[in-house]
Amino acid sequence: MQTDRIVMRPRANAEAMDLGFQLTRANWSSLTALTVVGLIPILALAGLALIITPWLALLVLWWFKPSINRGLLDILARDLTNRPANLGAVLRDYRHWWRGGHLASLTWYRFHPSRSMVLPIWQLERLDGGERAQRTHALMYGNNGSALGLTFIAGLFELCLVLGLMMLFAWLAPEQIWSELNLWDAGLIHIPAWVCAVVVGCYAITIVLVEPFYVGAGFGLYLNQRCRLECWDLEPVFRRISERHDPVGQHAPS
Amino acid sequence: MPPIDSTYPVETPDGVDLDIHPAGPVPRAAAWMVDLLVRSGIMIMLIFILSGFNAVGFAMLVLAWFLINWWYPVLFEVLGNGATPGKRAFDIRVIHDDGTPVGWGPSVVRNLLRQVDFLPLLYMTGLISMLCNRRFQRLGDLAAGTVVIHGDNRRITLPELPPGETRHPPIPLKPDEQQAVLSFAERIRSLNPARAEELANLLEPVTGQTGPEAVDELLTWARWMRGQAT
Repeated sequence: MQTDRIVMRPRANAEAMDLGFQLTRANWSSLTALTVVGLIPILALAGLALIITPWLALLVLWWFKPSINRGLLDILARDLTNRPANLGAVLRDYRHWWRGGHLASLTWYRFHPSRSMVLPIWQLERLDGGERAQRTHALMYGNNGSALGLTFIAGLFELCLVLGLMMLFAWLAPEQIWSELNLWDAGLIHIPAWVCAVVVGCYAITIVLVEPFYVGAGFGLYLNQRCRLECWDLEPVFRRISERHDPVGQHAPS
Repeated sequence: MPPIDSTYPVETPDGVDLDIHPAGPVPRAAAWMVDLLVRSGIMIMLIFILSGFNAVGFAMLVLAWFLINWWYPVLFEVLGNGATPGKRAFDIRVIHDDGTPVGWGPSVVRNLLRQVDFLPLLYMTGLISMLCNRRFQRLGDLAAGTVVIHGDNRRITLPELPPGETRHPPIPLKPDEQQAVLSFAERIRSLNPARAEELANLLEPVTGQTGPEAVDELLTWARWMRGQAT
């Protein structure tokens, strides 16, 4: 693949994630807009879950993140190939990114610790069955540790933001709401609806902040691995040499 | 628009252009966790040792806590080539944003301001600041003019080239072009053969060959360059 959007060279994995972060930063507004739009149906579902039991709503939000990630990855891939990477274009072309292991990513692959890096393989390379499994194995070789670490740290960022946002809320909220609240007596089950709504809201904001970077970093790992294996960084140099020294024979020593 | 890279350029006072590789939140959070473990380990050991000394022991413990909390990062950063043990574990270190080694003042500032970056909990402010900023600086870094970078301490081992003939390239190659040919040869073992031929075919006007012969031709050049380089 040739792109003039990013500088390709083999990097250490930690730096490859940082390249992904820069790519996310360059597309931050469309990525954030898409995350917000994608969260609307999920939040509706979470609202229904809230009626059953408060914790289920958080689980719903967590569970459907891979669906949003697919759209986010599409924006980044579009940007690399100089196609329009705005919200409208991505939503119009939803068929393009909706398929490609979507069901798997919401079921048995939902718990896969390397999912940020597996996603580009599944979504962008459009392979199926055995071929896909083989390709995934080949590209993930030696990178599972980094991808797992990324998922772990991203989880930590989520925790940091959820707790931080809840803390901010606690600071800013009027005082009398606390006097009526006793969570421990409620046994953490019969929690007032507004508390649940606050927690769900904080988690939704966290997803909007973290998910674009998580997808970007995973994409960075993927691009770096392909660059390493396929020498993407050498291709333009080789082209330049042959353009400069055309044709053969004239310059060759006797 | 210039292409996106994970680096930014600076010109040092002596007029040398340097590429700085700022380290993002992921490796930095990982390093912070290792440092947290190290500091907690030290504190737990001290609690065991000093618990036998009653009030004096308690006073010493408070003092130790103060020292470890406030001076652990500063001492390691200034005396340890910019890296606390956690940073070393992930091969990152602190420098001034102009590329010079970090000094006492900036290191104290960036570590004092951890209290601000920590707010409201678990470095939320610092995280958001890092994401808003091309150099991944948290507020403490912005105030102190420091940046955390990826280290260059990775052990470089020259991969063996496959044995064979040695021949110099038929045309003069610029340094980055020589580097590309060498890099091609060094990575040949992990390179898919079809892709290797595809790349080598790009140089057909120079090699006059295609397919496996073109790949072999490039390898002979690389061996010649390697012989010249060492």
